Amino acid sequence: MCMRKETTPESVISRKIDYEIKKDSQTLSTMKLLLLGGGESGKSTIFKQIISFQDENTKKEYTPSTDSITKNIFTNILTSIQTLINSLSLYQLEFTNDSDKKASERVLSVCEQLENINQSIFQAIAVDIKALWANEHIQSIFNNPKRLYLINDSSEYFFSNIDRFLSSSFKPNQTDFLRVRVKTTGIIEADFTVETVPFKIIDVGGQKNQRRKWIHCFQNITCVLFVTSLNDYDTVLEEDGATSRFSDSLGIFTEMVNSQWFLQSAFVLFLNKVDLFKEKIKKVPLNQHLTDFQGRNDSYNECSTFIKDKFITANKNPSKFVYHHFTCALDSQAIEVVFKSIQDTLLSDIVSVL
Amino acid sequence: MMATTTTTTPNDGPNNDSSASSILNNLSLKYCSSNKASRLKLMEIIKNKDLRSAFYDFLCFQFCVENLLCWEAIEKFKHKNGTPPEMYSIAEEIYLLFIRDNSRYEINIYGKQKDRLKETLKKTFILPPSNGAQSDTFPKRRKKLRFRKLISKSNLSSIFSDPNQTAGTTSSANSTSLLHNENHHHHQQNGFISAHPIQPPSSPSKLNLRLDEKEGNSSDDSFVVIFKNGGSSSVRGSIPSNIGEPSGTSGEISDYVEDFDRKSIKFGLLKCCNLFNDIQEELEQMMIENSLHEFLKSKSFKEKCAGIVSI
Repeated sequence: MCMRKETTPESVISRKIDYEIKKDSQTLSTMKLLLLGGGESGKSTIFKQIISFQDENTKKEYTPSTDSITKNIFTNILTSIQTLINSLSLYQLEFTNDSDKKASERVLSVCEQLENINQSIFQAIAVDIKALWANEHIQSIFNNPKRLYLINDSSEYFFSNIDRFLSSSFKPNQTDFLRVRVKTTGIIEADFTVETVPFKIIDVGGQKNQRRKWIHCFQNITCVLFVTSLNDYDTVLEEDGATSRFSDSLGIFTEMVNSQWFLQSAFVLFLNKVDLFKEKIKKVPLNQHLTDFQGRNDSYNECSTFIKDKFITANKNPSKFVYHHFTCALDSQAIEVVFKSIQDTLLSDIVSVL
Repeated sequence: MMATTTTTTPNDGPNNDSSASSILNNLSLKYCSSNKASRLKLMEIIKNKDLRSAFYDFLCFQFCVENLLCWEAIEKFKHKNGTPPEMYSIAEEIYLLFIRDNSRYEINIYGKQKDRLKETLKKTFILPPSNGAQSDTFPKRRKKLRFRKLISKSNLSSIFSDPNQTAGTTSSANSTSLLHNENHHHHQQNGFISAHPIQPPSSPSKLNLRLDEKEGNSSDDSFVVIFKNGGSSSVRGSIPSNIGEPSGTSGEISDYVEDFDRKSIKFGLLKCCNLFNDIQEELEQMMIENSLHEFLKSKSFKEKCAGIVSI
C-alpha cells in the first residue's frame, strides 16, 4: 500500500522544524572572515579585492557608484596637496616664486570647500595642483626620507594620473578604486558564496577610537585576517601623532592572536605594502627605527624577515599556527592566490570535520 | 519606535506598489547620481522621522551611530540662537561627548581636524581672563555632564534611554582590554581637557577632581585634586598621567568648580553657528561612504518607504 504524505498539523509543524534545523545548520557553517589591523594598513583594500574575486552580483552590490569613487579621488588629491603645502613650513621652506604662491592660495581655498568638489571645480584647479606637485620644494619634502607629516600612500599615483581624471568621460578603473582611500567607520559586512559555502567578510575601522567596536564581531570567527603595513616602521599614528605605528600594530596583533576569542579561529597575517617597503628601506634604514635590528639595512629579505619574526613570535600559543603572507594589497593576482589558498584551507577544514 | 504610519496592510493593491516603487526609485536604487545627490538623500532620510529611525537602527547595527548622533547635536547647536554662555555649554557638551579622545561616542575624525577645531573654538568664544592662564577651551566643568539633556531633545531619545541598546553596547565595550589599552595612552593625547576623564554617566565614577577657585592662580596645568576617600588632604601638582585609567587612583568624580565666570563668556571673531561645520561635513561624508549605500539597499528602508506611501 502506498503511503501518502500526512498533512496533519503535527506533521506540518514537524516539517517546519526540520526545515529550521536544516537552515540553522547551514547558517552555522558560514565562513566568517574578520579583517583586523591598525588604521591605513590596507584592510579595506583587501576587502575590496576579495569582493572583486566574486561573482558579478556580489561585485555590483558592494562596489560604490563611479561618481562617488571619482569624487573621493578628487578629495584624496586635494587633501594630499593640502598636506604637502601645509607641511612646507615644517621644513622651513616656502614658495619662492609668486605664481606658485598664488597657486597654493587657490588650492587651499578650494580645500576649504572640499565637500562641494566636482568635476568642473577640479578641472579648474588641476593646473595649479600639477604646478605645485612639480614644484621643487614640494618634491623635496615629498622625497625627503625624514617624513614629518602623514600623507596618503597613493598620493603619488593620483598626482601622476591627474590628466586622466580631468577628462569629463573619466570612469575610474579597478586600480583607481583600490587606490582611493576612504576611512571606514563602524563595522561593514559583505556576504557571498564560494562553491555553495556561505562566506561573510567583515571590515572594521582601524583607528584607536574604532577599536572598542571590534569586540562586537569577535564571535564565531572562522578566520582572522590581520593586516599590518610593513611600510609603517617609521611613521606614527594619525590619531595622536606620537605612537609608532609599528609598535601599535604589533601590540594589537599580540592581543588578538593570544585572545581567547580566537582560540578556534585560523589566523592569517598579511604583511602588507611590500612594494612601498622595498622602496623605503633604501631611503630609511630600518635599524634607525627598530634599533634591535642587526641585519643589513639594504637587504629586503633580512628586513622583512625581521619584522615577520617580531609578529610571529608574539603568538604565545604553540598549538596555534599563524600563516603569514607578504602582500601588496593592490596586486590583484597575488591577493587572489593568497585568498584562494586561505579559502582552500578553510574549506578542507570543513570537509575534515564532516 | 514603530510609528503608526509605517503599518501597512497586505491588501493594499497595485496602486500602492507603483507609488512605492516611484519613491524607491526616487530615493534609492539609481541613487548616487552625484555626491550632491547622495548628500540630499541623506538629508531626506534624516528629515523624515520614520526613515531616520530606520537609519538610526541601521547605524546601530553597523556600530557607527555616533556619526548621526553627533551630526544631530551639531545641527541643534547651529540652529540655537542662545547667549554666549549657553552656546558655550552646548559646544562643550558636544566636545566632551563626541570629540574628546576616549569620549563615550568618539567620532572617527582626523587628529588634525581635532586640532583645527580647538583653534576655531578659541576664535569663536572669548573666555574671560581666568585665574590661572587657560590654554584650554573647555577647561572645567561644574556639574555632571548634561548629555542626556543634549540628546533627549532629539526624536531618538527613546532609543537612547534604552540601556540595552546603544548604552549597553558601549559599556560592554568599555570592559574589553582593548579599551583598557587605549586608556594607557590617555595621557599622551594632545587633547586639552585631558585631565578630566569622562565616565559614562551610568557607571560609577572613580576620581574626584576639584579645581580650587582660590588657588587657581597657578601655572598652566597644575591643579588641585582632592581625593574624597583620602579625607581633606589635597594633592597639588601637574596632571598625573594615570588619571585616565579606571584602575588608577581611587576616588570619586564629582563636581568641578570653574575658575572663571561663565556668564562673561563672549562671542569671538568667528560666527558661533559655523563652529562645527567642517566636522559636520566630515560626518555626512562618513555616513554617505560607509552606511548610506548599504542602508538604501536594506530591507528596513524599503519597508519604511512602502509604509510612507501607504498612508
